Amino acid sequence: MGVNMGTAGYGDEHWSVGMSYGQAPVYTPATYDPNAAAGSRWNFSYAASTHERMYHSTVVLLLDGSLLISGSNVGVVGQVHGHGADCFATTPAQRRLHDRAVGHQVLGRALVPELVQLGPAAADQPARDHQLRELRSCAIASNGADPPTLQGGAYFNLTLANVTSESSAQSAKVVIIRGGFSTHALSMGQRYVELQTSYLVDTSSGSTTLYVNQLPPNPSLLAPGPAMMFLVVDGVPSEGVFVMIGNGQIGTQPTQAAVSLPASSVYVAPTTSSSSASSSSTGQSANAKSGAMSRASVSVALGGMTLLAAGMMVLA
Amino acid sequence: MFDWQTKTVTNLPDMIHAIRVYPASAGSIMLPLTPANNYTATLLFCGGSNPPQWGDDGGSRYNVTAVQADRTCVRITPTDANPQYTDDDTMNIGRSMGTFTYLPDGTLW
Repeated sequence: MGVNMGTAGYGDEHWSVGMSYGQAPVYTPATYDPNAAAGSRWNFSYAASTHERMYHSTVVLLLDGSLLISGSNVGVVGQVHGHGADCFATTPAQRRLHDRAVGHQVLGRALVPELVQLGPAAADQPARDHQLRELRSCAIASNGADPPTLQGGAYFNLTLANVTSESSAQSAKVVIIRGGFSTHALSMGQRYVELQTSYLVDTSSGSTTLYVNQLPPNPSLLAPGPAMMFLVVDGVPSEGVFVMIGNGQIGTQPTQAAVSLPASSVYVAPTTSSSSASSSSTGQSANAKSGAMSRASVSVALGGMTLLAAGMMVLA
Repeated sequence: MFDWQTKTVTNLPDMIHAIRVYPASAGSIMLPLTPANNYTATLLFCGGSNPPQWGDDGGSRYNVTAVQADRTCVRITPTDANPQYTDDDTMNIGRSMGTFTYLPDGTLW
């Protein structure tokens, strides 16, 4: 969180504060939304930490979506000032600094109700903490394939159980985060890449299929290697999972041509026994194509979701 | 920017409002690459310092702790035809040694 006066570094001059070249530590974190309108991007409304985070401090993103913040020591190596770790929960409803020991409870309370109720909670876990984990394990396993190589080629599907609102489907995104190498209040080499997605909201089965495209086939966009993948719906992240970008080997990376995703749409089951389908394409399409899907093709698609991993819609 | 294949260097404009590099240590980050921005890299710099002088390897040589940190933020898109730093939202207080980190929802901490 830095300092309000001075700079990084340390030395033994008489004006140093202890040994620090920085003083007036800033105890309050802030968040910045790059997509908000100019003038509205910063949020300074968080409660203060009791720990300053100065020169020898670090921050890393954890797979549960929270941040682990530690350190502060302003002097030479060996003068450890014994600051504990903070954990910053990242779900919008519960963003505050809190002691790491209760991190999971805070994250669990912030779940959006529509996303939960995926399975019975274990007796020793907060119910929503369990449901958050279920969302992740359900979503990542749905197409039955190994983690995607993520450089062009066939798209993959995620199942969003109990998501039937088109606005929630439109909010859904799958993101790749390369965590930074964090030291000395610098976090180097970070990347955040959002994958292209489109959706099929099926109001009759009460779930949404999210079609997720691979990274564009350009290894320069995101250096090959391990990275975290998160599903985010209505601002709430799933647990992250590590994926391998590329083939995990040093050398020229194999790429495949990019493919187009199905157009986003909402399927509503007919209310009469007539055979005409009722479906609509609304919201943003991942590609330029649009138009209603026939009932037959939707049924086949839902019944054979693993087949969609090949990148083709199967028409009956 | 350095093109390692052609071994050419392209200079970007000078930073504006404040020094951002160590030890002024602004927070800096590449904004999320998204389908909406066609995976175009824009860099954000916030805070840092504007001290009246700089020291050397031996020390700061003046009372750097009395210098208030900078509050301004700027963005630049290096692949623009004519990349320039543009002003972004100002922070509530100046910060040196701020650190940006991605949150999964695409906002920055």
